[in-house]
Amino acid sequence: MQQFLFTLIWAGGWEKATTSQLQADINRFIQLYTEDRKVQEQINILVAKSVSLNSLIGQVSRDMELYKNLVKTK
Amino acid sequence: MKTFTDYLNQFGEIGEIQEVSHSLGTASGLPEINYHELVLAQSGEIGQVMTLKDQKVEILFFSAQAPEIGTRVSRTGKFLEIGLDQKLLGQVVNAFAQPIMPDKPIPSSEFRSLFTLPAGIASRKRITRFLETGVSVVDLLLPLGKGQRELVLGDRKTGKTDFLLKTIETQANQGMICIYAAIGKKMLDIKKVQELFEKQGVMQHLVIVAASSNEPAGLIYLAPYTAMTIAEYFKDLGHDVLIVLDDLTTHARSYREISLLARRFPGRNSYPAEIFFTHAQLLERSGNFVSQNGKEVAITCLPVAETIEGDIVGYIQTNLMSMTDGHIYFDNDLFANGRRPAINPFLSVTRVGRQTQTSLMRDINRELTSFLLLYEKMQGYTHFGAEVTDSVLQTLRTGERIITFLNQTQEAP
Repeated sequence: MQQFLFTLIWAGGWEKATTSQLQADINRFIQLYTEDRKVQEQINILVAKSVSLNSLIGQVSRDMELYKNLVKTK
Repeated sequence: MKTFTDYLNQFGEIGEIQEVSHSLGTASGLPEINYHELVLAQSGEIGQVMTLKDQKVEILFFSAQAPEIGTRVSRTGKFLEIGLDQKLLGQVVNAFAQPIMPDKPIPSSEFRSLFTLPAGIASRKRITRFLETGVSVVDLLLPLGKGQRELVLGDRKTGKTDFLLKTIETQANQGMICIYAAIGKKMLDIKKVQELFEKQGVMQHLVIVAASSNEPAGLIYLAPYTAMTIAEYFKDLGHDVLIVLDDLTTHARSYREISLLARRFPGRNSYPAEIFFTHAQLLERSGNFVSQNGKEVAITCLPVAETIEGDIVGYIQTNLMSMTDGHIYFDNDLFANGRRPAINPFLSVTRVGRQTQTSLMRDINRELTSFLLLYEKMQGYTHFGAEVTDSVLQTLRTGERIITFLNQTQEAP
């Protein structure tokens, strides 16, 4: 989860967000990861499949909007 | 234990207390007694032989005060052992592994000596399994492996215990057995720790060994050995164990108190000469081992050392640094600046943790370390109020986001 969140920030997610907004979104993400088995599985597979930071950034950037919406909608 | 008269009849040696100094007593009349043998006084106190002299022995009693001069003492032929059982899980126990709040006594399925030798090199294995602490700055920048000994170092009130509690919570939730040794802590703080673990619902994976600050120095001295013996018991049952020794500087002070009372020759900072050996032998009992069925089992040890005014080159602190596989340093200045946890990644070291990382984790580690160095440097520019370029501004903004991500309070999920 930590690797996924770091990559999300590193890839430019939350670029315009304030600190408190970022903190709240991170907490929501972690909560989602802990409570939703499906999300947990998806993230775990994504991280396990990535052999380098570049490949994970590529994957995360492609689905950036999806992840952002995930936090908003839940 | 049998009665005083039974032991007297068994061994036929009647000792007599001749000198008393706090919890230390000197006795004569025990010519055949062994080093570390337990002694029972007629008044009921139990002690352990600390020094053998020509005609006398020095006994450390596990009570606040040694028996009065003239009290009769007897050999027991026994050595300090604690009763162990799986039912210890979820309990707060004292230095004798007895529950502090005894609802009902814990049955003992096995007895073990507290002072055993560390396992040899043949039964050890290279550390390859990653240990998640749940603290991002450690997991990403200073990774730990199962079986590693990592010193946790820092001033008072810099968040060391919060980090340790978070690590225990994370590991206990993953099913690891955790042992928390509160060495010379206030009883109120120990109670708070217990309540926190109960609230988190992880107590069933945990044993708290408590030797509070108002207990005799002898019991504080024993507490880390008790914790390690319990850890070894669960390791031998095939479980991975995490042991937290909070903290060894207090342990060293208690040992110094005992040694000075025994009039042993003081070494540097008045600590006894064998303080390095004492701690090294204790910490060497942890590591990554191969069990009888070929499975890897580890005792991961997180000893704590308290510094004064950020002085990390103190005697006990440097001793512990040299016998562990790295250290995590909690920085006073970072704490004052609001960083939680206040870990200084540039003054911290992990020697074997990196070999447990995947290639992705290694990539992140490399990128993050070099970025944080750059960020620190750029931050320096802004202190002058100088005009900064767009690229510097971009670095500063990304840095703020990364620091926000790395900031984790105790309440954070």
